[in-house]
Amino acid sequence: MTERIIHIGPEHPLQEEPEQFTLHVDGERVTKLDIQLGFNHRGIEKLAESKSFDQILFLVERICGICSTSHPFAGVNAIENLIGVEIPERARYIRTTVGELERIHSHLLWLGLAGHFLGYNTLFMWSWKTREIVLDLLERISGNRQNYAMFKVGGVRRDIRDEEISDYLKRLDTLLPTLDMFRKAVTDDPVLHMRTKGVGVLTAEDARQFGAVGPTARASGVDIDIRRDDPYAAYDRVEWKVVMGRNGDVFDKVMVRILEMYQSHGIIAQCLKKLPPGEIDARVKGVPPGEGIGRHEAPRGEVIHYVQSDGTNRPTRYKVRAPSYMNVATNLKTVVGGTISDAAIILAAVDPCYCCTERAAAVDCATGKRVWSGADLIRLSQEKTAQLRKTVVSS
Amino acid sequence: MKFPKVRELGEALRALFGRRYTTLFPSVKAEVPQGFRGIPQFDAAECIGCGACAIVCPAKDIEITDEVKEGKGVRRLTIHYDDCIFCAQCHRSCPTGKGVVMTEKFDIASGNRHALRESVEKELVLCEMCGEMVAARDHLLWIARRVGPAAYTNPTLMLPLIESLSPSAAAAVERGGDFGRSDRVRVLCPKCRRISTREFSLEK
Repeated sequence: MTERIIHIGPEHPLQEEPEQFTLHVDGERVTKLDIQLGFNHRGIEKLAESKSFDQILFLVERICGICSTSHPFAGVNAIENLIGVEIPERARYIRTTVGELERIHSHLLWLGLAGHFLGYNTLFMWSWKTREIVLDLLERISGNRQNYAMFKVGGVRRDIRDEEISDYLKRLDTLLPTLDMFRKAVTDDPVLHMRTKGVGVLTAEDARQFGAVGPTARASGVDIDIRRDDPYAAYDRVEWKVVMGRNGDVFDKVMVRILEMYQSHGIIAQCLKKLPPGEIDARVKGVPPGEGIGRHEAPRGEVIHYVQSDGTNRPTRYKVRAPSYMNVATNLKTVVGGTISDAAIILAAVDPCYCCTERAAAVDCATGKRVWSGADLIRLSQEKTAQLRKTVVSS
Repeated sequence: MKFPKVRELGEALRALFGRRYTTLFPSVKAEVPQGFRGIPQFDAAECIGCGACAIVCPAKDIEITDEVKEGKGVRRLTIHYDDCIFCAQCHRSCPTGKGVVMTEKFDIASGNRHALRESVEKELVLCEMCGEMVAARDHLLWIARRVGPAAYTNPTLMLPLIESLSPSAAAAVERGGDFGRSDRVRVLCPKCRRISTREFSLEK
């Protein structure tokens, strides 16, 4: 049997970390996986050293194109940790609201993509349509659908007008019926069960070994969530609970994300209802020499920012660790042993946006001839679903 | 649900007979909510030409060019919309709060990125001794009005202020030309002010 190699990547237009996957396949089975990172070095950490502490937040906001609050959130936590400033109560609640709205929109985006890879394009259209509700809310609150520019050191830039809160709550509640629909669509569709249950299993032990974070780790039963473990903003002032999975397969990863959206909905509703009056911005007097660490539970997991200052207006070192960096490595365990058609959804299940399949090509080692294109890989996955659907209907 | 496809069928029927979800942009103008962050625009009447917006801009997008030619100085502030990140830092940091404001315009796409710019021109006040620029005239006037009577302790603030109130009165202020005592009452750059201070003390 000739061993064949499928290259996926490294061009990756959507995610913050383009990566290259090299699948070694024996027939349909994946026997080995190589992961390479570091193709999209933009020098952001070095660039941060040339910007003032106020400007850095706009820079880190642009690290990720999807979750544009995760990095500023961790960034303000780090800089406030360095300065030692206490932010006003109202700012805490507004920060939490924006952070959770972003979690919903990011999970909906992922859910749509996962549906697309599985050949369930109705789910893709549904969830992206529902995502518009959240993006409209963010646009009203922050002034833009993406890159909200809401956070500043010491508070937030924009207030939420009290007279608009009831309107926000009403819009937020229109999410619930569609969330119910997604939950049911995933739980009662036998074809989706066959495609996702027992596929790409990441055991709790492996998740710990790889240092997985966020929904990827929680789906495997690793109880980790920075919002609860090390509360910041208003997360210790509202009622919510950490959603856990058990099996670590793709199905659990989907369910954890769907159920997390309910929790986020609850957090936002509580924050908007409890929004205390007062200032939104604390006065910051200079930055002392020292260092600070900030963490935030981004939709994809824990993001850590480290900042070091020598007392001037600019940091001497700025370090960012994004959650995907930890999660992508878990593919080493989940993809190997599965089939090529499952690889598409397993690689996508850790929530890197999976448009890199566009660059995938299967190459025959002996002749160097291109066998499959990236589009073929998605087609393979979608065909498998179609085939399963037929067998389900006929049985 | 026993037949999961029924749900999809229902959605398909709703989509078929329901209201159109997408909009007809760009042929129909898109509505933006109140407080939308569109492009920042200068207000030539309110801008004082201080350049604070250029300093705070995270994208280094606002360009300041100072041109001094034949005894006339012009400061030109230019926003390059092709590099703008619409963060509103310029608006927030504007000392007058109105010199550069966020608008609700967003549909600025163009094939020529060099056309995506807007600038405002401000007259510069020059040092009467060496011709070096001091600051934008509107900036000095803004400071003079802010500090109130204290402006009359500093000729660089006082003279433009008097001139703005009454040009003939400004012309009547007696000025010398030998870096001596009379040159204390002139619009001077910091360097020339230092020289005049030194000469003045030597004179004594």
